[in-house]
Amino acid sequence: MRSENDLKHALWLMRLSYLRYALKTAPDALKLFEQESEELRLSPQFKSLLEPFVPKSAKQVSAEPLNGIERFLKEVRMERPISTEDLKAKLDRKESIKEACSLRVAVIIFVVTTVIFFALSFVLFIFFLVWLLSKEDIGSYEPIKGV
Amino acid sequence: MRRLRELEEEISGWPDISVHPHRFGGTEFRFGSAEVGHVHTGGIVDIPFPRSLRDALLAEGLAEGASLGSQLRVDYFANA
Repeated sequence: MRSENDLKHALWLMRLSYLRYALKTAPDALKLFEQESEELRLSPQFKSLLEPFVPKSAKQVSAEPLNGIERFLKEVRMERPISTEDLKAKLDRKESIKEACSLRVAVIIFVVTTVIFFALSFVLFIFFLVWLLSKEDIGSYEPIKGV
Repeated sequence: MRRLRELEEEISGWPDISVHPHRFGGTEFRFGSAEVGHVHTGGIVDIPFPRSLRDALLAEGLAEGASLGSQLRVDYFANA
């Protein structure tokens, strides 16, 4: 590299690239974004270009000022509050998924049982044929002696 | 070469960064399985950027651009 400035600039570009991925996994993405924007001295244009890489959940959490109880509930549940209608719809959806799963299991059991039944019948039939052909008197002709 | 080493040492110290040999020679830095960028032994630094960022960097004269296949890269010339 030609100078120390070149090295710094290469590092700046690398850090910019790194930031895109780091924001996706950071526990506090918004804080990291603000910190790095300061450190890298990003212009408003570059800040706006990098902002889409901050997960939406991080933006929502920082945008809503929470009171004590809400914060506690949020920390414990880590889920957004849900209305009764939404909960009912959610549970209904789960029930239908359960039904679909049990129907699928029933069909699979039926198919497996049928296949096993036919396989066993076929094997038994083969054994029967072998037993039948091993009989000495089959194929040989002995006239019945008159009484 | 000293500056290249400095660059590699600095980047490899960042959290979640792993260092790998690049397939065309040089050193590649990854975040998980994603490539952050790579440095060629000749001193060229290739950094993949999404189109919007790449265009902004080129427009501001902060990098010299090249397009390799479907991946957009910014080539930063750093002659060792």
